[in-house]
Amino acid sequence: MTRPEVRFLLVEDDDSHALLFTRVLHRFLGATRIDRVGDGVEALAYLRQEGQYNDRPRPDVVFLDLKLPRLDGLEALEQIKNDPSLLAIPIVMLTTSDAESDRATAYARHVNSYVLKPADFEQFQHMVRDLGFYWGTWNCRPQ
Amino acid sequence: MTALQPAEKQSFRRTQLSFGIGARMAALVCAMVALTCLAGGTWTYVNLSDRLVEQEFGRQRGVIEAAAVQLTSAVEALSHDAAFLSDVPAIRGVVRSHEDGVDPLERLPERVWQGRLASIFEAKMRATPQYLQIRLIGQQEGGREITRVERLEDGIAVVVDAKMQQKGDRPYFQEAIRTPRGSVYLSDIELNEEEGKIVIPEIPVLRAAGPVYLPDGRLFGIVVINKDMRQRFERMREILAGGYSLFLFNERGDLLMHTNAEHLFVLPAHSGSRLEDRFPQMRHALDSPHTSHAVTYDTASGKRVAATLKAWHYDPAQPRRFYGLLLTSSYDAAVSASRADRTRTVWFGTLLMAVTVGAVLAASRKITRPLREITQAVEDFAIGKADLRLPIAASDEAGTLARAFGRMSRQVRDQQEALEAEVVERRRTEESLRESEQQLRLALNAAQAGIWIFDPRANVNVWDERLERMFGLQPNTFAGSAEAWAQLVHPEDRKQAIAEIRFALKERQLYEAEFRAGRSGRWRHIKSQAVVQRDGEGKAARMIGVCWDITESKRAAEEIRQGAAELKRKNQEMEQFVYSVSHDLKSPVVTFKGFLGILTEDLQAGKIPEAMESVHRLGHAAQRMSRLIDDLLQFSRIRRGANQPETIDVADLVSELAEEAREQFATPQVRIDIQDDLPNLVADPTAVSRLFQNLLSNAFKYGLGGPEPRVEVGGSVTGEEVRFYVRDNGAGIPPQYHHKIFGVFQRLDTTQDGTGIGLAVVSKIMGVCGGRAWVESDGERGAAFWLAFPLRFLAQMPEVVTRSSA
Repeated sequence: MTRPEVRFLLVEDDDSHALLFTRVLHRFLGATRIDRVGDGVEALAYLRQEGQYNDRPRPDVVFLDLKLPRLDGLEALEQIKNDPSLLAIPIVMLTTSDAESDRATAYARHVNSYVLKPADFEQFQHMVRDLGFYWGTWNCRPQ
Repeated sequence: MTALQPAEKQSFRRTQLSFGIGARMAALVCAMVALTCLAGGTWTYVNLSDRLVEQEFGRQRGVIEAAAVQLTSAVEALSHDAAFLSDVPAIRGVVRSHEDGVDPLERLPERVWQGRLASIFEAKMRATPQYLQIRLIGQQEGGREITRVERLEDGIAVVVDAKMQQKGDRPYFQEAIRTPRGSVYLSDIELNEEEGKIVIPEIPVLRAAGPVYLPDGRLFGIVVINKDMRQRFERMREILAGGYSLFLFNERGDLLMHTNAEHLFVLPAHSGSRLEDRFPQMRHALDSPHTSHAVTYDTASGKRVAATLKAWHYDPAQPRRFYGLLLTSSYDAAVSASRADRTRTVWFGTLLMAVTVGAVLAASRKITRPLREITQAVEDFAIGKADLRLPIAASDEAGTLARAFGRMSRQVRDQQEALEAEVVERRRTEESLRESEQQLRLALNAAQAGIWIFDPRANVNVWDERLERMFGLQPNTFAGSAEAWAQLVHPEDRKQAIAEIRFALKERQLYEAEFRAGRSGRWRHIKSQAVVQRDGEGKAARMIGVCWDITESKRAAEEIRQGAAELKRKNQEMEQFVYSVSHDLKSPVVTFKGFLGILTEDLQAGKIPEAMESVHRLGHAAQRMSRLIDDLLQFSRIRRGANQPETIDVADLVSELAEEAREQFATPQVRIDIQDDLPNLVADPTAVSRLFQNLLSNAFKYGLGGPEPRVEVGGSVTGEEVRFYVRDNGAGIPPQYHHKIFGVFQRLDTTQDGTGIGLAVVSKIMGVCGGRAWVESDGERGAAFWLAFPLRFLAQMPEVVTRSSA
């Protein structure tokens, strides 16, 4: 089965986390392009292909941190799901917060998945691998 | 029904004594009898008098009639004789012989005829003693007497030529020769005259003249008879009874004669005594001589007189001639009979009255006896006697009354017994009610409740004193109407409160409402509950209610509610804070474990440079962890009254902190403008220092992107706050982030080092001291962070406070 290159967008303000995630993901999914932005405002600009992001294609999935400067993850989620041109893009909340209110809000705003960052590195690697395979390989979405 | 009161009983008896029915009936009947007698007697008396006077007038007319007959027969006889004598054959002989002295028919001289005539005259005079003279008077030679026979004292004499008199100038002669043919002239009744003088004794004389004609029809002369009327007058006098007076007038009203039963008076025709003078009441009677006139009048001496006047026509030749006969008599004498009648009537009436009074009194006593018995029974009943003696056997109205009263008294007695039983029962109920009321009062006292009673139909609203005090009124000053109540209700609650009362009056049994009432500034929360009582038709007749002052419990409840809300808000804040913090604290842990794993892998693979990179990252994460924990500690320590408040010279403090920041961030090119007269504060110096430190480091860290970086600090005292601001001229903050940046660990710019706690600390400090913090920025040209302290933090220093012009 031949398939085009998988494109992920990671929205993460913490450089260390971003580095960890990218490194682990590349370890399992070689032919994967990962773009990273630092906050919600940048994420929206990326998805709408504004400014410096005008040549970026739509990602197959967006990994969205909850706590972000300027526009945080839940606010960005709301705007994406309220935008008819963006709402088809799968959004996965990727966060250290296990607050029930955050999960409820995220699902109320039609998040596609809500995943906690495990503190344990082994589990972290499993999580990244599974997410990568799932969203990059098994999941089908409209063109 | 209860027994009569003593006062009523007395008046009852007094009325009975003064105006008993029997006495009243007797008085009424007596008054009617007296009135009838008086009216009948008066009527009879007046009527009888009238009839007696009429009778008297009739009697008078009879007397006049008789007198007139006397007069008329005298006149007629005289008139007859004059007509006869003027046409005897001897007269014709005298007439025939008078011119030549010899009768041309029988050849006898005049003397012979005169002698024969004289003897006829003499014979007539002898036959008629009242004739005084009979004469033949010729018209020729000035009315000279031709033959005269007259009565002397000693007999009848024929007068010879030498003693003949001229009579042509005498009125009777003039009248007689003008008398129409075939009739006799009658003179007035006059007193006899001889040679123009009235002869004494006065003799009333009536003359009658018969005309004598020549053979050719011309008047020759007259035969005149003088008649003495005394005898006739005497006869008329004899007709009169005592007390009657007769008066004779001619048609001109001259009094000719008057007489009473004793005396006779004759007057000359021209004596001047006239009808209208003597009888003014009759002065118009002669204008209508064909009727009789009857009058009564009072004389000057005060005697009442009845008078009748009747005219008597005696001369057929002259119908306008008549005699007036007037008769008078005493009125009192005429009506004396009726006086006697009146006396009899009075006596009879008195007797009748006496009999009537006796009979009526007896009858009324008999009639009113049952009434008296009933009265006695009523009085007995009033004082509560058991056995009543009532004339119930009587068949009349009194019997009906007695039976009715008997029934009534039995009913009253029954009802009274029932009432007494009810009174006992009611007294018992009252006592129990009183106990209930005392218990209720105790309960109301305990509940501090005020009572009200409202009658919607009369619009009467009664309050007790406690309720008045509850509504902020002095005792006994409530006006007592629905409107007065509504005025006391808070204007915002009034409409609702009135609507609730109306609704309850219309269709509820129970009423319950809450409203504010009283006076402005001292409003009380009042809870009111009432029962609605209704009449037979279901209309609200009354509301009875109680009010409680629930202001305190309301306030307590409100405080609890606010406290609960505050607690909830704080909990939510805390929860949010905890989640927020847990996220931020977990992040370094993820980093630690991740890079430890990578470090391990790199070391196993012998990749030293990569391992060093991981070590560096680990150190950085540890440092960040440490700073987060420090900041959290610092944040959590913010609380009220941590340090003693001091007076702070804000301008001094700010310039010191600004210099430190300029050194810390190594930005000497930044210009710092600090207002000289910044307001000073009395506050926790550590907290105030941290506020300005955070704001200044924020400004240096994020607000200096422009070409001429500048940080400005100002302040002023407004109406209720002491305000400060720290302004930069950097990129500014878009409005959508203004609220967010004061949250814990919230950062807009992650390129700069920091945990994002600074503005959260500022916000929390301002919140703790009752002030506020906010940012002003359009997102393009710098930002100004504002702090506003309550005025109580202002230091009372004698310095001029001016507004910042920046």
